[in-house]
Amino acid sequence: MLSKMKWTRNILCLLVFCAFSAVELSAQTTSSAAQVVTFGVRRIALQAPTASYVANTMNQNPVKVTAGSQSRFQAAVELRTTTSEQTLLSEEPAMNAGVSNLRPVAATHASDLYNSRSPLTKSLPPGKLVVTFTE
Amino acid sequence: MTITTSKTLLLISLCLPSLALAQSSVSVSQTVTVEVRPVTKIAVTGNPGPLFVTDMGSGSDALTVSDNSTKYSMLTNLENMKIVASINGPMPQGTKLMMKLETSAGLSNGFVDVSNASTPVDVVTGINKGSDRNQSITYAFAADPSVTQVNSDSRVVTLTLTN
Repeated sequence: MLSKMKWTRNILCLLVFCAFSAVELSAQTTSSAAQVVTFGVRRIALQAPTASYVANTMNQNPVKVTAGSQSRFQAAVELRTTTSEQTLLSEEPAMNAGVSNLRPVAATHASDLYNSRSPLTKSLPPGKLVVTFTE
Repeated sequence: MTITTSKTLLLISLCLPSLALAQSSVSVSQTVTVEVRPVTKIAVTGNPGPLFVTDMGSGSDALTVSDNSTKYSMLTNLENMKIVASINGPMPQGTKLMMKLETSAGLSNGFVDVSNASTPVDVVTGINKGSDRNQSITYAFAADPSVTQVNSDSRVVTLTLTN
C-alpha cells in the first residue's frame, strides 16, 4: 500500500514538472534561427601585361603577356589604341603584322599567355594591351 | 375514500409544475483563468547560395558578391524588440561578410558587418508587436585585392529576435 502511494506521488510530480516545462517553453522572449553561409575567393594572380609598344617607333621586342597559374581560365589578348579604345585587329589590320596570332590562349600554367614570336614590324600608335580572362 | 384519493392526486398534479420551475434556476459556475505570455518567433528559409569572388585581381577596390535568395519571418507580441546577428567564427583575413535584413515592422540598419560578430550586433531595431513575413536577407561577401585565394569555407550566422 505504501509503495503504491509513493508511485502515485512520483507520477503526480512528473506531471506537474511537465506542465511547468510546457508553460516555460510557450513563454519565449527570444527566438533564434541560423543560416550557413559558404564563401571563397578564386582570383587569378595576374601579372600586369608586360608588353608595351612605343608610338611611331619600330618595336624591336616581341609582345609578351604572362599570368599566374590558373588552368580554369582563358585569356584573350588584344591591342587597343589609347585614344580610340578600338581594337587594332579590327580597325587597322595592316598595322598588326607580327601580331597575327592574337587569339584566346589557354593558360595552363604560369607561362606566357601570348608571345608574338617575332618583333613587331610596323610602327603603332600609342596603345595598350588588354587582357580579358574568362572562366 | 375515493373522493379523498382524488383530492390528493389533484393537489400533487398542481404542485408538479412549481417543482419543475424551481429546478430551472439551479446554476453552476466555473473559474476560467486566462493569460497572455510573451511570444517571439523567428524563422529563415534555408541557406544562402555560395558567395565566391572570382575576378582578375587587377582592380584596386575590394570586390563584392551578394546573395538575397533567402527570407525570414518573425512574430512577437512584445514592444521594442530587435533582431541581432552573430557569427560562429571570424572571417578570414582580408575578407568581410555583411548582411542586411529588409523589414516592414522595424528599422533596418542596412548592411551590417558581421565578420567578427562573436557578440551579436543589431541588424533590425524598433520592432513592435506584430508579424513580418517573407522579408529578404541579403549577404555581401567582400575580399581585398591582396587576397588571391580563400578555399571554400562556411560560417553559421544566427539571427535572434530579442528585447
